[in-house]
Amino acid sequence: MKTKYLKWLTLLVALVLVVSACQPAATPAPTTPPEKPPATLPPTVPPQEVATTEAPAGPKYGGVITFAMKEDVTTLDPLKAIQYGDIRLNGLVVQQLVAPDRSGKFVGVLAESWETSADGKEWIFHLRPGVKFHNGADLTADDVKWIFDRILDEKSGAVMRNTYLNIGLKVEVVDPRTVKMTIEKGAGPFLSYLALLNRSGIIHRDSYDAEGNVTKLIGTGPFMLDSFKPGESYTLKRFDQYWKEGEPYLDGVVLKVITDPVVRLNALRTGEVDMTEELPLADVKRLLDNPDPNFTVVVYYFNSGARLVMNHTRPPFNDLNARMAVQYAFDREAYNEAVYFGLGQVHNQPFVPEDVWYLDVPMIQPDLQKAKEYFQKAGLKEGTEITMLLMPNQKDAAEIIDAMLSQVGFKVKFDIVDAAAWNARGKALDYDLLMGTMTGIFDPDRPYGYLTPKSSGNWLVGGYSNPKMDELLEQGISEVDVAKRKEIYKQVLQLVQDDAATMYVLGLPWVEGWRNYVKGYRPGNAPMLMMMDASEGLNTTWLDK
Amino acid sequence: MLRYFIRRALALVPVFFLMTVIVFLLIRMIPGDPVDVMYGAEGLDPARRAALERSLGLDQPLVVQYIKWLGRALTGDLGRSYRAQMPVLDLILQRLPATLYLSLAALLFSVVLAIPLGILSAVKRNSWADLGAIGFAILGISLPQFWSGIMLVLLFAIVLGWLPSIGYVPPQENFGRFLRHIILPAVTLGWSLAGTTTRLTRSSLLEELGKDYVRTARGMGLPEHKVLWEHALRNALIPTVTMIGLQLAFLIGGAVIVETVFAWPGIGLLIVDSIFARDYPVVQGVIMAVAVMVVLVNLLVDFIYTLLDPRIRLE
Repeated sequence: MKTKYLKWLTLLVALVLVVSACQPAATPAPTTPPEKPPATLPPTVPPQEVATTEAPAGPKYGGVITFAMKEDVTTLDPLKAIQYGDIRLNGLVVQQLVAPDRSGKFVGVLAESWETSADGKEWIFHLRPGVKFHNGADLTADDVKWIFDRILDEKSGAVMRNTYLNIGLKVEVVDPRTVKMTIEKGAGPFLSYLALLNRSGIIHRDSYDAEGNVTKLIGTGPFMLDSFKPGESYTLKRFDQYWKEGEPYLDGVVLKVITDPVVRLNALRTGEVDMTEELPLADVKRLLDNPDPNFTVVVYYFNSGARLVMNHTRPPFNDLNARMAVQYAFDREAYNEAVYFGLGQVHNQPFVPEDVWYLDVPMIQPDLQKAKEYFQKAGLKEGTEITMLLMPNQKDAAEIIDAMLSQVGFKVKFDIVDAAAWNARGKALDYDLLMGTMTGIFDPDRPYGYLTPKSSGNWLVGGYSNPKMDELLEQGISEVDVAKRKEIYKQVLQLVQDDAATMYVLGLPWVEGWRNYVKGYRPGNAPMLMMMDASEGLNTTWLDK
Repeated sequence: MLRYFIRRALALVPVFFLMTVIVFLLIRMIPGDPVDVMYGAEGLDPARRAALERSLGLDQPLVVQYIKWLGRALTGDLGRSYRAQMPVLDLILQRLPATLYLSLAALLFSVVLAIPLGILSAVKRNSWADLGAIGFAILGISLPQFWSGIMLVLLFAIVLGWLPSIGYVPPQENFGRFLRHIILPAVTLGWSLAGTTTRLTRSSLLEELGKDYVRTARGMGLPEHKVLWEHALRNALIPTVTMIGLQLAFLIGGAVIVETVFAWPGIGLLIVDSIFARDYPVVQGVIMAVAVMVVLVNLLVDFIYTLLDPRIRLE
């Protein structure tokens, strides 16, 4: 009996040994093991400043950077790009005529310069010489016209189509290097339309197959799309004939789809990715206080916003008093603490304070007493039930919103649904409250433009409608002078608050992190890995290793 | 023998059709539709929406859509992904190897560990070895995979730096790296499977060991190892094989959590992403492909039964 027992034990031990021996040393490791901490600590990056990776010794050429992105690419066609991953990818491959620089001023990218007629209805764009597509073809005015014709074509599915139809855009070729655009109205935001998140990106016509799908993405950017596996990774390689001499420094970029923030952080820790975005905010907070010696984490802000939307088309929020009750009950600071660990930027408009369009309109401060008064005035009963739509990634918001609104007398029921269902119900105005977010804001017309029922995005502000607002918005897009436009949009924002049309709650904290050997990179003014104005994005990034 | 298998396979055909109907309807019943997801909800006027629906064939009655899809699917054409703009079959073939390797590795890990442990704990009932095996099993069953996975990553990838924390490398590309990448996900997944298998092996072996034929065998003076290996174990393993078969079937459908934690590009994530994107052709195609494989696994399990117990050759 004893020997049998021993036999079993030996067998088990042998098995355990075999299994464990298989693990670490099973094969030689061709990948480099995670790095040992360098002797010196990198400078701490304060969250409020936009950090730049330092470049003391001058850039080195070569190397491939791996970037972990949080969402997959859903379409290669920049004209149809609405999702985050789409913009991440095409930002590196595709360029537009113009783009905002870091201060929000529009500068030329594929257009070297432009002139405007006095009434703002005629725009002449001079194309940059020496720009080549990834297939070797020269960029000509014909290519530009072809893309805009495509955008305006009903079949293309282009996101910008309605916007351009609305301003009556026409595009003509003057000569191979000159394009003339005429518009009937909308001179104010026109450049921002051309610049919006690459949705008017100039790609070569051969990008499209016979069915009108982009199967190979032929842009003019510093990197070209080499190969991809949907849901897994997108491999980009250096475009040797890129128009900016000497750029890019990297031989390639691998965009790796990693959907979970904890997993992205782990991969950054082990050095399996060189750069990443959106890390768990609790960890970000800790890493800002105690930086890791091997990598840098940066929080930065660009025009974006979380927006509390009330449904204007049904009770209780078709009543101004009920909306006012919410506006006074909602405490932005508390919301920021609870949901964003205080890392969000509290303000009452979707622009960062440094932006030219940040307007001097005082924010309504939370006031429980007033909130209760408005609740009374609305004739609502204690425990009035309202439904709030949340996406799964917003579920952290439920507790604090419930706490804030229940003390006024609302009873909030939360429906947590996936993004597609959220959109469907949002559009059908089948909710009382929701929290919307928006990015890619370069002109006040984009966020405030939804405040009229003429906009197809009117549901994004709960179907709000006020003829006075319509009038102001119409003035806003027709005016060219910035100072005059600012006055108009100040009235818009004031009216937003007076009507409790929607509540701009805070600017979202954007997080990027990179290993400390990544140099020459600055986060952009939109979710882009290349600055749209073609400066200091991945095009100037290099690896110091 | 062959007739037995053909009969088993035919019996599964109605199940299979019913499943395609359910999947087809379910994905269309949840709110939200592919046009919105693909083209954004901001600027779609009704005319363009109608045109897009027509181009995707979504304007036709459900019955017509189903019959068209099924007709093509039976000839091997699963349609095109709305999102990835490539044939569904290509997407499946791209993801399938990663899933199969992970499933088999996890299963191998669990079987190699669980069956001996189960036998040990049954033979040495109430000993410390039994206790240890029970502990191992309970932990495997009760620890959530996302937690055990992340703990393993912390220990082996971040602290010790022995193994990579994410990703998949095809074995034909670099077998060594493939092994290094598969260990952590396979152990995470295998551990939770091993728990169940250990417990099941233990209890069914104990049951067999208490039966009359074992007593008779022992009474006839048969050595204990013969009693165990040649008689009791063979019978005891039938439920275990069933369980392993079920586990494999389950794994082929994808191990979404482990795939997420290790950024492992498998079938599970493909299904989940496609559901979120309302990418109907992919959801339908993948589930159909998985169903076919599950049917095959079940047949394989049936075949193993006949090896273990020749009496199971149903007429």
